[in-house]
Amino acid sequence: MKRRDLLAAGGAAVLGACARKTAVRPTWDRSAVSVLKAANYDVDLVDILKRGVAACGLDVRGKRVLLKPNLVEFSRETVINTNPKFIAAVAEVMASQGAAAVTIGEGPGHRRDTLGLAEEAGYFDAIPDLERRFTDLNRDDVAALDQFGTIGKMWFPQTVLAADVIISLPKMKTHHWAGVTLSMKNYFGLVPGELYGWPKNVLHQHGIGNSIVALAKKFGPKSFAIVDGIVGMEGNGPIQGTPKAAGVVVMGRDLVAVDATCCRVMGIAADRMQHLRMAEDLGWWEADRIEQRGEKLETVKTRFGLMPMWKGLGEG
Amino acid sequence: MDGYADTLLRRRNPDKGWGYYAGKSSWLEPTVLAALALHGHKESDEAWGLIRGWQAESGAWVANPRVGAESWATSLVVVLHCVRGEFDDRWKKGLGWLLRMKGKQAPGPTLIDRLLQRKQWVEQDNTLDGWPWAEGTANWVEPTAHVLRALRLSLPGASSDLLRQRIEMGERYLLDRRCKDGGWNYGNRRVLDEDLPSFPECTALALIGLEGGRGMDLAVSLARAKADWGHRQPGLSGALLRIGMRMHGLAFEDRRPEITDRTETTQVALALIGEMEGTWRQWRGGTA
Repeated sequence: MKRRDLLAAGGAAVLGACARKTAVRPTWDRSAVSVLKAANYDVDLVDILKRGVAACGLDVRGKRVLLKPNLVEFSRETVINTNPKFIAAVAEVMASQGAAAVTIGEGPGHRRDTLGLAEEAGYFDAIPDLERRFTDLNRDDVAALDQFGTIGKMWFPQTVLAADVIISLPKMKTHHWAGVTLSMKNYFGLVPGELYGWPKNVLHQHGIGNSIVALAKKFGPKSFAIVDGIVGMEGNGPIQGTPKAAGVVVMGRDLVAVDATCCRVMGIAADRMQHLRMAEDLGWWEADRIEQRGEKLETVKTRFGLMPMWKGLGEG
Repeated sequence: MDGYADTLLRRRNPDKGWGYYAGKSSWLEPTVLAALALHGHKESDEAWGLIRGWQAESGAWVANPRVGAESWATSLVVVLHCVRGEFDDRWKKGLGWLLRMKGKQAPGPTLIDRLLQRKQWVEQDNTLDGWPWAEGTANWVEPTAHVLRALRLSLPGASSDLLRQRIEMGERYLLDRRCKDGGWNYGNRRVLDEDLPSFPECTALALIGLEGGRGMDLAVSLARAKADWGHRQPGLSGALLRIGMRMHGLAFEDRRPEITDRTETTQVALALIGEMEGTWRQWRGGTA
């Protein structure tokens, strides 16, 4: 066993011990997660998404829905961001299901020019009426939330606080600091750069895992996740990795269960993912507590390449 | 020039400040950049009057009065004081706050990793102090560049050893964070054995911050800026590159950054500042 594997195994053991000690678990018995195949972005995504949403029982009638994609940086060499066609299809589905309003918001963590980045990433071309619908969450008016992790008071965009439902739309990616970046980590983009900077280093100082969990605790209860795993990213994600065609869409109301299912799709041991174990009071990461709908896991499993520092997370 | 100024004037809020976007409430950064862009006009004076009331007891300016949080854009307010020649008590308190502020290095990935493997995940000199976006967080390129400009312009009014030391170390910090391609990004040039690319807007800001420094070889960075400009940079990048290249006396084929109704206010202000006859000249200098 190499040192990295030893460290990962040791970390998992420590996490397991901590989890047994706290042992606060969700109040519900099982979580539904839909897994659907989508070969590329030109298939009938609206139909696929409608089937998944129906299988998970999402009801957005009369609600203000905020779509939160993952828009970070742009490079022609790889696939960093949630695909704009994917976002457009989700917007269409939400509108067709009777949402009172469907808006889109993001606060990129590295680039200050949010709209310039959205333009570069093709969002204005592919998403109808984006100009009217889009809010730059880095520069929105804000209101305070108390008790954010151990930070205490923290400011968040009014657009986020006013939404009835937030749809987390991450790209399925590996992450060089967090292992993976999925529906929970995607919420780093809810933190306003105008107050916390680019990058939002306050979240790193608080601990990446702690911050992921704190954001999920605040916003998870009004969230639904739809993960763009049609073409994901493996290796040195979330920016410099390589494209990985997985041909899959994963969705559900329980962010922990959705992210754990994504890990299994990616060939990553969900039980060794630190932030999933830390969030086990918020949702189910265990396979036997996840009611998987749609495709069987074996038919969509696509092993994602991991950086040497994360090799210990790979399923056996 | 009229197009940028008209857009700014159209967006002005009843309180005489500016929001990040049309119709949004006033915040410090867009208000102070608009005041710098319109320097010499009554609207700038009126914004000055508004901003003066936003200083906290600590000396920092707040992001906006409703939020009350100390803002990194305090450096821009100090620049505005210097441009106006107002070296008064408020400027002194603001300068003092900037001189006290230092970044705090973030911990590595895990304690176990740090104990067992002395590898440096992010290759950089952590002994160099720059400035953070927010108190209690690490140093980053953009706030450091803004503060360096504020400190340099403050030199005629407050030359002290501490001021000179922080300028000198801030410049070293920026040079240490320079990417392999000659430009800058937010502040990580090499992570996990891979070189990261620069961003045009950060390259421009770093050059703005370093203007007036002595004994620095910026040739590769100026070449990077010019190459970036050649790729028709949109929005913020284009506006900042124009200012940075003008401040360093670099010849380039001028193009006015395009703005629309959705363009963020700070970009409109920076586009106006970077016009040939814009107020960018007042950002230069600052030698004792």
